[in-house]
Amino acid sequence: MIIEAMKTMNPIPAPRAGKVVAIMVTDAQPVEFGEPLVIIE
Amino acid sequence: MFEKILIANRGEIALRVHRACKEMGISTVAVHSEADSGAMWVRLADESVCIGPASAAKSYLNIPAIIAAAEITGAQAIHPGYGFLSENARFADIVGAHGFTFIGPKPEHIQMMGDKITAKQAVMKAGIPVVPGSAGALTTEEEALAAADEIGFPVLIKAAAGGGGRGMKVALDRESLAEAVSTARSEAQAAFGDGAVYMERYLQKPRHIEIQVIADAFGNVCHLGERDCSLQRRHQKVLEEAPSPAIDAAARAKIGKVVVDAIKAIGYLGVGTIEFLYENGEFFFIEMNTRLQVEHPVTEAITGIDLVREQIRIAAGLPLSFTQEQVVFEGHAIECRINAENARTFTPSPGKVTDFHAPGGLGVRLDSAVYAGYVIPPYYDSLIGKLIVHGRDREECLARVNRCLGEMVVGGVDTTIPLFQDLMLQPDIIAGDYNIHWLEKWIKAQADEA
Repeated sequence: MIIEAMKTMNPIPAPRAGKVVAIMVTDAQPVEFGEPLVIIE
Repeated sequence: MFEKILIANRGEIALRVHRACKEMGISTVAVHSEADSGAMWVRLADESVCIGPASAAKSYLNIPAIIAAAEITGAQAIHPGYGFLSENARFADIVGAHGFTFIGPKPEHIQMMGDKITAKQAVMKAGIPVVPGSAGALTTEEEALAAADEIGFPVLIKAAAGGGGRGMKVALDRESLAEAVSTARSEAQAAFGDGAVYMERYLQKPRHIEIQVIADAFGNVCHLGERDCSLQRRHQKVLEEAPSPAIDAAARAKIGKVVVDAIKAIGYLGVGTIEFLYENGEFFFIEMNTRLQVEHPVTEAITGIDLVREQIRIAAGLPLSFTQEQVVFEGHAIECRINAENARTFTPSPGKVTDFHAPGGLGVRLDSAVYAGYVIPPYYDSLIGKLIVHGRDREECLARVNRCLGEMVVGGVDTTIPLFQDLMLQPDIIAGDYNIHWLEKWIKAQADEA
């Protein structure tokens, strides 16, 4: 997952291994600080 | 003279252009995206037009929307600022075709300089020095030796089909040349299926030095000296100064004349910058920027010439307001690009500016569209202000920069102010002893230490 902020691409590594059960955002959707992006089980 | 100018940009440069217009008695039209509706350059402009949603592709790069904004407001000219559409030859052409004046060079010169190969050929023909290299691929060892002797050591052997540093080898002297050529050739063969290599002079510790030029429609061309922009991170300039600590008056006059003669030969119009790598007293062309540059205020500080005012005058068909003999370089100027980024990690930091205090005093200029309560949007680049400081000499200038950084407050977001505070304490910076690799090396050393 890559978050673009101020024309910089920031790769977001998964904090742990697991199964992706839900993706909370769609491509190019603006997100805020602390907003859940993916739920990993 | 124009009565109304549309400013096709955002942020500090939109405000910078607005200021020049107001001093000339010209009305301004701001254009903005939905994300920038409350911004300072929009509020200060005489009129404003929303040209699209937050995404730059749909607003600040939206040519039909910008042309429509110029038509409905009755603007006579369009200033593109820097970035966005400023070096888009098609935009310059369209602006002209709709009967507006593009405040910038002719489309053919934007086109010429926008292409690395045509740019290099054009400036070489006009007498500007480029990095010396072999005419074509090198096949024999004798050929390589002859080419290297002519170019001068150290040389860089590069794969003709290359990229990404593969098939690239440095030869420091005649003894190591044969091995460098054969290694580069086998690497090139393995990586690209083509063993052809060519040769260029290898610059080890160059400085980035650029010459500001300005030309009117009557054939008058002046240079306004150099700016040293060697302090860069990821090819982005971080701090610029003028004059360069590495250039004296004789070297300045010499390269200045070369550039002026070339610009005359090319028939260029408006402001432009020729960027060079500089090593051991020699200049080598990198590229030409056919627009106003971010760091133009350091030149304004030491010459007292308002470059945007001159741009507007030239576009209106007036001659330069000065001659080369009248251009006098006084004192020293430094610009710090203040970004909304963490000063250690460089992570972008958009968001609300809770407190804002600008530094002041003699010789201090802050070009910024930020105010207390302003929300820095996440959609555009992270430059939130430029601190430009002038002193009678470099020492006074450095002390003043340091003092200003301590005075400036930008609350609520991270900024690169602490980076500049650290830089002002470094002996190499104080001595002016740095090159284009210095800053990245220093940042890496800091990170390793922490």
